[in-house]
Amino acid sequence: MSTPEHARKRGLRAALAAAGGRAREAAPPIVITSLTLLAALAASGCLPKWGPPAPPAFPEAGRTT
Amino acid sequence: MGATGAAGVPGGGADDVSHMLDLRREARALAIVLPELSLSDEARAAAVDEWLGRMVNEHVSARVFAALIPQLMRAGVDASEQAVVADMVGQELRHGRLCAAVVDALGGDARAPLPELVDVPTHDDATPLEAVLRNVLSISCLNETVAVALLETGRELAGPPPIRRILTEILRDEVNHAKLGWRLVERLLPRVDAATRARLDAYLVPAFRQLLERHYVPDHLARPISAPEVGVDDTRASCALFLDVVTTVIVPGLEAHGLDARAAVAIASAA
Repeated sequence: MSTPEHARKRGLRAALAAAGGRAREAAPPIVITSLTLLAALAASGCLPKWGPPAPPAFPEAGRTT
Repeated sequence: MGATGAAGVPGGGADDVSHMLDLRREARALAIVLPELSLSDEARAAAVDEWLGRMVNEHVSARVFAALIPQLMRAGVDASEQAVVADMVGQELRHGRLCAAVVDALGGDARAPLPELVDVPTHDDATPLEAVLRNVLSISCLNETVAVALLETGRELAGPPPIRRILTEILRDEVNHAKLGWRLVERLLPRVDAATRARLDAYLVPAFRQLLERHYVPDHLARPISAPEVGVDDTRASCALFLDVVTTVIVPGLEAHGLDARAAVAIASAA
C-alpha cells in the first residue's frame, strides 16, 4: 500500500496520461466565491464520484433523449 | 451521504419496487471474499455506504454512454468509436455489479433506491457535431478524467487484494472513457468554426460548474471518517486532488485545444 502523498501523485499522473500525457502550465488555483454554488455544495455533500452524470443542458434545458 | 441519501424516490406504493436497484443476486454470483478486516463498525458502515453509492452511480451512468451513441451517429463520428462507446455502456453496468459485490463482501445489502435519472441533453440548439462535443467534454474530458485520478489514488491506498483487483478493472475502463473525450476533441474540434468554438467555451461554464458541485467538498462538509484501505476516501484529500486535476490537467489540456477553459472555471466558481 502507498502513502497518501505517493498515491495522490500517481492519481494525478494517471489523469494526465489519460488526457494525452503532456504536462502544461497549470491554471491558477480555484477559489469558489459563488454563493449559489456554495449552497449547492452544501446540498450535495460527499456523494460517490466515479460515474459521469448527465451533462448539463445549454443554454437552457432543451429537448432530451 | 451514500445512495440511500442521494435518492429521489417517489414515495409510497408498489411503484417503489421499480425505483430500486437490486444487485444482490449479481453480487453473490461474483462471490468476492475479503480477508478478515480490522475495521470499526463506523468504518465498515461508511465503506458499505460508499460502495453502495458507487454501485448506483456506476449503474446509472451506463445511460449516459448509451445516449452518446445516437449523437455520435448523427455527427458522423467513425462507427468504430460508436462501437467503443457501446462497450462502455456494458462496462459501467459491470462496474455497478463489481461495486455491489464489494457491498456484499463487506456485509451490506446490495440494494438501493435509484436516484432521479436526469436525461442526457440532445442540445437541439446546436449542430450534431457541436452537440456531441458538448457532451463529450462534460462526460469524458471533465468527469472521467477526474475519476481516473480518484480511482488510481484509491487503488494505491486499497488494502485487500480483491478490492485492489476491482479498482484496477474499473480504473482500466475509466482511463479509456476519459481518453475517448480527449481523442474526439482532438479529431473533431479542428472541424468547427470560430462561432462554434466560442459557444463551446460558453458551454464549459455550466460543465465546470456541475463538476465543482459534484467534487468540491468544503472543509465543514468533509466526511469525518476515512478508511482508504477499503475505499472510503479522505474527502479533504480527494477534494485537493480534484482541484489539482482541474488546474494542472483539464484546464491546460482544453486550452491546448484552443478552448478558453480558464475563463470558464473562473466564471463557474464566481457566478
